[in-house]
Amino acid sequence: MPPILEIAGATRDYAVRSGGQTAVLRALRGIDLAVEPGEVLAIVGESGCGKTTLSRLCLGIENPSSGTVMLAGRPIAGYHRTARARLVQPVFQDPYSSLNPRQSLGSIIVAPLVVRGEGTRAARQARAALMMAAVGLPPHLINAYPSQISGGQRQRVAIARALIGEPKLLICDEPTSALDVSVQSQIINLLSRLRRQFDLTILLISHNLAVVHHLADRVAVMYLGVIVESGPTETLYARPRHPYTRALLDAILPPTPGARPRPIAIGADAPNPVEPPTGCPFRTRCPNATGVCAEAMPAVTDAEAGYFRCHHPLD
Amino acid sequence: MTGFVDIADLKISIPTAGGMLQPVRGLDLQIAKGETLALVGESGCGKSLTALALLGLVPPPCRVDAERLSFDGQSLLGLGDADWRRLRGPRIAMIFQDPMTSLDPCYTIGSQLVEVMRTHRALSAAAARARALDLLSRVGIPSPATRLGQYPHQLSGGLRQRVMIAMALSCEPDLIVADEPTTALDVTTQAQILGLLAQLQDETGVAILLITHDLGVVASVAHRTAVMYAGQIVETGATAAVLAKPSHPYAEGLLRAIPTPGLTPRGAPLGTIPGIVPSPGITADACLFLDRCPYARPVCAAPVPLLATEPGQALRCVRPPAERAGEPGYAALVEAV
Repeated sequence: MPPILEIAGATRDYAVRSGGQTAVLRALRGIDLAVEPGEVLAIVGESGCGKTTLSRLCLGIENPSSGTVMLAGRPIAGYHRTARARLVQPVFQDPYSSLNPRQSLGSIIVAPLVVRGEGTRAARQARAALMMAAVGLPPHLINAYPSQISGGQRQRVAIARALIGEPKLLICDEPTSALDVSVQSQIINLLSRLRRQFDLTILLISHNLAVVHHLADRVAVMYLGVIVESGPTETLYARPRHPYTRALLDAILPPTPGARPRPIAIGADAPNPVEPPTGCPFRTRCPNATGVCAEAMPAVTDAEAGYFRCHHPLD
Repeated sequence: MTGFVDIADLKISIPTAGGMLQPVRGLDLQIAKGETLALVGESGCGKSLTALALLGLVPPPCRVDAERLSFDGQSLLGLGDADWRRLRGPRIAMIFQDPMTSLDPCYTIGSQLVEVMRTHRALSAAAARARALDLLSRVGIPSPATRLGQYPHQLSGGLRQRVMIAMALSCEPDLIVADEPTTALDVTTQAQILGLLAQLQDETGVAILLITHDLGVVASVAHRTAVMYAGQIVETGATAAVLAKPSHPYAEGLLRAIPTPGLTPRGAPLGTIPGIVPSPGITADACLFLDRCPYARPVCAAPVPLLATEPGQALRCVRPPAERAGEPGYAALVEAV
């Protein structure tokens, strides 16, 4: 089966004002990524690495400055908005701002069907009731408003709205970051169950390496607009080849007795994305950087079912 | 036991049109000199209000009542503004979650640091500047002389939080109240800031009240841990003991909810805590966790006191693990949603 989503050489530039002058911020600097049907692919990286820009490209909300984004084998820009929405749907981070406070949960959930003019009113309500059951919302909430329910329930509403049109691909941008620990686990469990029940493909964007480990089949690590390492979750966590991946894994703080923070062997500050370093984007923070790292962007090196970009990979 | 910080039966109430709400309802807490105590709980449990009470910053019209609320033997109840100014900064310092909103965007880093020191200590401008330089290098800020002349927006989030830590340390306080100090930071920065806090504590012996929702943060820096639920402490003890064998069902539920690479089987259902937090309006005529507790029995339908179990440990539960030997475990009782 062809990939559901295939991104090749995608860049995305933004014009920004810096010191009174207009400069170009290249948020994505040549992304190659394929999302296979049925998998959960996680994009991890720290703030400003471009992961949310990438998610906007995948949703077709924005177009790449160069390169291509193919959805189900066709350029995503060629789809009509409603046709695209049949295939790909978002779940955003903050369920407090992603739901219209003036609409009842029922009308929020059926909105995708209304936009496409699908079904009768009664049929849509019936679908909404089914979706609410699927995401674990009690049926009596169908006429409630977002302000009357908890954060976890709101995220369930957002997921129900995303799934009601039976999309092939779900783009989840930090779906649990705004939630409390006990609620986060409910949403993680829900996503695990729904992906099987609805045969979903999920692009999961997160900075939480523990959540990613739990949910994702494959992980791509982004740094300053570049995917620096990608591979199957188990392999990547057991044997990271890129020093940035190592640092992200070292930064996981397990809630176990006696766990001490592991020293993070990288420099403190990400460079200004308007003036990225020459060569390897990570070299300014990398403990192993040498002269060659300043000269050339490391080429893609294939490794156990994945790849990395580093002149001095870890063993 | 009386601690360096000693809080007994702290109540914070908010009068509203619909009646009195009580987000903190009878909190007991002790912090010893030089220790890091983590106050853990989920949003709305009252942990930040508790921190504000220690700083005299609970906003009106909220009311603060307590049997005891004292710091280094001095009662903090009913202090006037002048008294608070003598404490806040020189004796009790604070670090908030978001370093962008806690620094003034219109002043340089240097002038903000110098202002704190000259307000509280009789230092010349030159001496204060020299000390500011020294502080910035101690918190690991590269080229501190340049940074002194810069504005907050010119610094990254991690650097700003380091500035906040430098500012908190500037008057050599005895207690730092740190409310979610790393929550707004990137993960690698978080680890570095936590390492810095631990190192500075070793050097200065300052006590730290660390407010957090992240049990990973707790595990890595806190000596003791107090778990808060619905405005009360439900369990407190040495961090290692609480994390290894949580006795309160809420603490157990929280720990089961967190995926940990290497420990939690990938894709297996995580533990959950059914139900929702009770409203701060309801009166406590039963265990506040009753509705959500998988172990609940009729005996739980009466107010539950916080009782010492061992020295330095306390628990607010009438059905601790010893009482429910042989019963089904948490996972069996809470069906994954």
